[in-house]
Amino acid sequence: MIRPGIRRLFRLPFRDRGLEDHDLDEEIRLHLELRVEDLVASGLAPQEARAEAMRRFGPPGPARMALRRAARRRELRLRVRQKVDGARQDLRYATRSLARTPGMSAAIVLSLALGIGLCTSMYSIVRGVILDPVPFPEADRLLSVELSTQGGSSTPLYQDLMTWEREVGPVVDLAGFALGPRRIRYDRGTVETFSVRVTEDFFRVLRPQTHLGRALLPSDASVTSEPAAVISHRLWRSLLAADSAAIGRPIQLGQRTYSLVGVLEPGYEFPAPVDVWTPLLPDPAEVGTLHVTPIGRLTPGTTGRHAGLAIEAVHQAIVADRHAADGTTTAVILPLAGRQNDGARIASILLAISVGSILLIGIANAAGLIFTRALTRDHEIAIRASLGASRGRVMALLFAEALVVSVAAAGTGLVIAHAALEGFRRVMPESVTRQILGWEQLGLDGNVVGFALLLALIAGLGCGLSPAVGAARTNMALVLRRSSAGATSGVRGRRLLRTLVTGEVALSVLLLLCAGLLSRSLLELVAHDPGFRTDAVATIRWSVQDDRDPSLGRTLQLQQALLDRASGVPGVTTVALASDLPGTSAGFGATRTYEIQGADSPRPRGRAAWRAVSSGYFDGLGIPLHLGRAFANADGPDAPRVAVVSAALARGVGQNAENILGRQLLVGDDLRTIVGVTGDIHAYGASTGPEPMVYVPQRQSATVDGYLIARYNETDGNVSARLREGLGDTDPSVALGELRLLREVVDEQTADQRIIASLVGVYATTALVITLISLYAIVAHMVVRHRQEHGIRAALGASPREIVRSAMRRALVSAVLGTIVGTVLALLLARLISTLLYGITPLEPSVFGVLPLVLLVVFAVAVYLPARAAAKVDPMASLRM
Amino acid sequence: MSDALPLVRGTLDALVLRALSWTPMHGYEITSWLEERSGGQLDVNDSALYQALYRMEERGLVQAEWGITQNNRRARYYAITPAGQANLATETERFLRYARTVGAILGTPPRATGAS
Repeated sequence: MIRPGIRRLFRLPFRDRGLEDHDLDEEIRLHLELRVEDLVASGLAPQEARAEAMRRFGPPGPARMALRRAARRRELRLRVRQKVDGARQDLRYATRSLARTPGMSAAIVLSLALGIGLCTSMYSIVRGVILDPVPFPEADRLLSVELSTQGGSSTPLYQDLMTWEREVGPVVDLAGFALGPRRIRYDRGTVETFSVRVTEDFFRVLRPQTHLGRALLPSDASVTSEPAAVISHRLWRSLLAADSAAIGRPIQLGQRTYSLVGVLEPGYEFPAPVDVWTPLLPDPAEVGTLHVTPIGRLTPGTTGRHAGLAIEAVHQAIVADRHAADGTTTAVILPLAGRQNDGARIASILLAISVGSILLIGIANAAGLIFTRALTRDHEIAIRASLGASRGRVMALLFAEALVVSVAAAGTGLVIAHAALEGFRRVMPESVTRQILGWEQLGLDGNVVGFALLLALIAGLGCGLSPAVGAARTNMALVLRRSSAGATSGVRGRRLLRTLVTGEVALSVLLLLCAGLLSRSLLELVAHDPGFRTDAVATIRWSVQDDRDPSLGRTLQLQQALLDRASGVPGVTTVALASDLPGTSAGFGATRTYEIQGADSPRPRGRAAWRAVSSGYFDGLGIPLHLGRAFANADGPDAPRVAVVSAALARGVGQNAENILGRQLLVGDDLRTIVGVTGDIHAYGASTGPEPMVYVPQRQSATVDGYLIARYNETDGNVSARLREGLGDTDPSVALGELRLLREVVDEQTADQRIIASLVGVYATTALVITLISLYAIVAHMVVRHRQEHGIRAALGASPREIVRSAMRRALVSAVLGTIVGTVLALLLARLISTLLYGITPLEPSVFGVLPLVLLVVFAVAVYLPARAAAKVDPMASLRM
Repeated sequence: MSDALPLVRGTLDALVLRALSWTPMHGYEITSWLEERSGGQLDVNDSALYQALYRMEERGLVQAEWGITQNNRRARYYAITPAGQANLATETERFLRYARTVGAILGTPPRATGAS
C-alpha cells in the first residue's frame, strides 16, 4: 500500500478521469473473480458460479451507473481534500522551516512588521485627521464663508449675517459664531479655555452628536429663555469629572451663569479648540461692531457655486447700500472640510513618504533575506524538483513561507502600530492636538486592521514572489552537480540582491536627508531672533471677574493694583500688561482690520494683529522703538487716543516710518493717532515674514483678561516663586492663571516643527538601521558563500587586504549608487517640503554637502565589518571543501 | 436465499465499519466477513456495499489505498479512520438502543397492553 503521506511526499500526480473508471472496473473484476473462486471451491460449476456472482452483485445497468456516480463524487471530494491538506502541510512545513532559522526569520518578520506598523499608525492618523476630519453628517455639504480683501480675509458683521440668512435661506442654511469669554467655572473648579457664542441655527447646520442632553436649539436664543450652554466631552471629563448628572446644573462663563443642557460627543468640537457653546444674543452696545464667522450647509439640490453666487450678490448689495469704504471685499465660500493649512498637508505627505519608504525598505530587506535563505536552499529545492515536484509545487512552498511571514508581520505590525500611536499621542502637546478634530478617536479600528492585513499581504507577495521567481528559473541539474557549499546563485539572483540593497540605501539616504533638512531648519528657527527677548521673562494669565462693578474705572484700578504688586516683588525689573503674548500666532479675534487715513498710500487698508499693552511692554520685552514714543501712563481713557504700529505695517501700506508717524489710523471703528513705530515681531514657528502689528494703550482699551509680563533679574534667585507669592493676595476679583516662562510659551509655538522633525528623524533612523543590518547580513552571507574562492585567492598569494577589498566591492558599489540615487530623490523632495523649512533653502549645502558623505562612511563600515571575515579563511580548509 | 433478512436502512455502514475495525480489508473480504458473521442471514447486495464504501470514503470515515492480496492480486484496501471509529461507536450505541426499545415493545405479550 502507498500511504497517503508518501503520495504527498513524492507528489504523485492525481489520477485523471479515465484512470478512475479503470480503478472501479478493476475493483469490481477482482470482487467477481474472488466470488467465483469461492463458489467453485464450494462445488458449483464455473458457469453457474459466474451467473451466481453476477446475480449477487446486483442488476448490471442501474447498479453500475450508481456505483460509477458514487466513485466519481468520491474522487472529486478526495481531490479537494488533498489540495487543502497539501496547503495545510505547506504552511506547517513553512512554519517549521522558518522556526529552524529563528534569527533570520525574526529579522525578516521584524523588518516587514516595522514598515507595516509605522504605515498603519500613519494611515490611522491620516484617516482620522486628514481624510475624514469633519465627523458631521454630510460634511461635504458644509461650508464656511470669508470676506476676501487684498490684504487677507475678514468676517462679516453680525447684522450682515442676519441679512444673508434671510436672503439666501433657500440655497444655504447659514449660521455664525463669535468668540466668547474664556473663563469657565463649575462648582469650585475654574479653567481657561475657549468658548463661542453661536447663532440660533448653528447646531441645526452642523448636526453634531450629543453624548448627554441636547445641542442648543433656536428656542435657547431668546432673551426670555434661561441661558443655556453646551460643553465638549473633553471639558465634561476634565472640569465636570464626567458627571452624568451634570445636565441642568449651573456653569459660569465669564460674568454670567448658564444652565448646562448638553455634552457633545468627542470629535465634534467645532471650531476646533472650543469647549463651550452658548447662544449668541448681541448686546445693544455690540450691534454694529460684532463680527461673526459664518458657516453654512447647502440645502438639498444646490451646489456650492449657487450658494457662493447668492451670498456674494447679497453681500455686494449690502456694501453698496452702506457706501462703505471696504467695497473691495468679496464673499468667498470654502468647504468646511478643506480648511486645512498647507503646512499640515505637506507635513502629512512627507510623513506618508517616510513611512512608505520604511515599508519599501522593509519589503526589500525581507525579500533580500528570504532570497538569501532560498540561495542556501537551492540544493534542497533541486532535490525536490528532481523527485518530481513541479515548479508550481516549489513555488507554492516558497509562497507558503511568504504567507506565514506576512501573517506574523501583520500581527507584530499591529502591535508596533499601537505602540507608535500611543507614543505619538504622548509626544503631541495638548495645545496642538486640541486643534485637531477627531484626535480623540484616533486608534486601531477595523479599517486600520484591514489596512495592516492588506499591507502585509502585498508585502508578503512582494517578497515571496522574488525568490519564487528565482526558484522557477533555477537550473536544477546545474545546482545538483555542484557541491552544496560551492553552489553559487545565478547572476540574475545576485543582481536582484544588489538592486534591493541599492534601493534600501537610496530610500534611507532620502529620509535621512529630509530629516537633516528639517533639523537644520529647526535649529535656524530656534536661533532666529524673534524681535523680542524671551529670557528672564515670566508671564501669568489674568482675568478680571467683578460682578458688582464692571465699569472701566474699576477694571483699570484692579489692573493697576496687579502691576503695583508685581513690580514690588524683589528682583522684578519691569512689569507690563498685554492682551496677548508676543510671538504667539494670532488666535481668535486677535487680528483687526485697519485703514490709514490721510497718507497718500497705495494700499491704505489691511489686517493686523492687535494688542492692548501697558506702558512697560516694549521696554520689558526689549522691542526696539524705531520712531516716535512708546505708551506712557498718561495715555489714559481721557487722553487723545493713540496707537503704535510695527515697521511691517508701515511697509504694508507702502510708506516709510517717518511718513506714517502722526497719521490717523482707523482700527475697526476706533480712530487713533500713530505716535510710534516699533521693530517687527516674528510670529514664532511661522515661516512667513513678520506680521503687521497695531498696539494700543491698555488704559484706553482695557481688556478684562490678558497676560502679566514680568522681566526679572536672573541673578536674584528664584524670582518666579517670589512673584507667585507676591501676587498671592491680589484682589479676589482678579483670577490668576499658571505662571509660565515666556521661553516655554514661545517654544510651544514651534511644537509642530519639532514633532515633524523628530518623527521624520525617528523614521529615518529606523530606515538607516534596517539598511545597515541588510548590508551587513548580505555581505556576511556572501563571505560565507564565497569562502572557497577567498581561500583559493589566499592560497594563490592574495594579501588579506586584497581579499577583503574584493569581498567589499560589490556591496560598496551598491551603497555608492544608492547614496547617489537617494540624494537626487531628496533634492526633488526638498522642493516639495520647502514650505516646512525655515531660514534655509531646500538645497541647504550644509545638509546636502555633508550628510551623504557621512552616510557613505557609515555604509562602508557596515560592509567592512563582515568582509573582514573573508581574510580569515584558512586556505587549506577551504581547498579541502 | 429467500429466507435471508433484508438490511434495515442505515445499518450497512455500521456493519462495514465494524468489519474494518478489525483490520483493513478489500471489498470482497468485507462481504465474506459479513456473510460469515451473520451465518448467511444477511442479504447484502454487493453493489450496495461498494456504494456504501465510496460514500464513507467521501465522508472521510474510511480511506482506501491500492495494495496486494496474499495471492498477489491488486486490490483496493479500505481502512477505518479515527472519524470512522467515532461514527461506529455512536451508530452502534444508537442501533442497540433502537433494537432494545423496539424489542421491548414487540416482545411484550398483547394482554399486558390491553389491561389499561
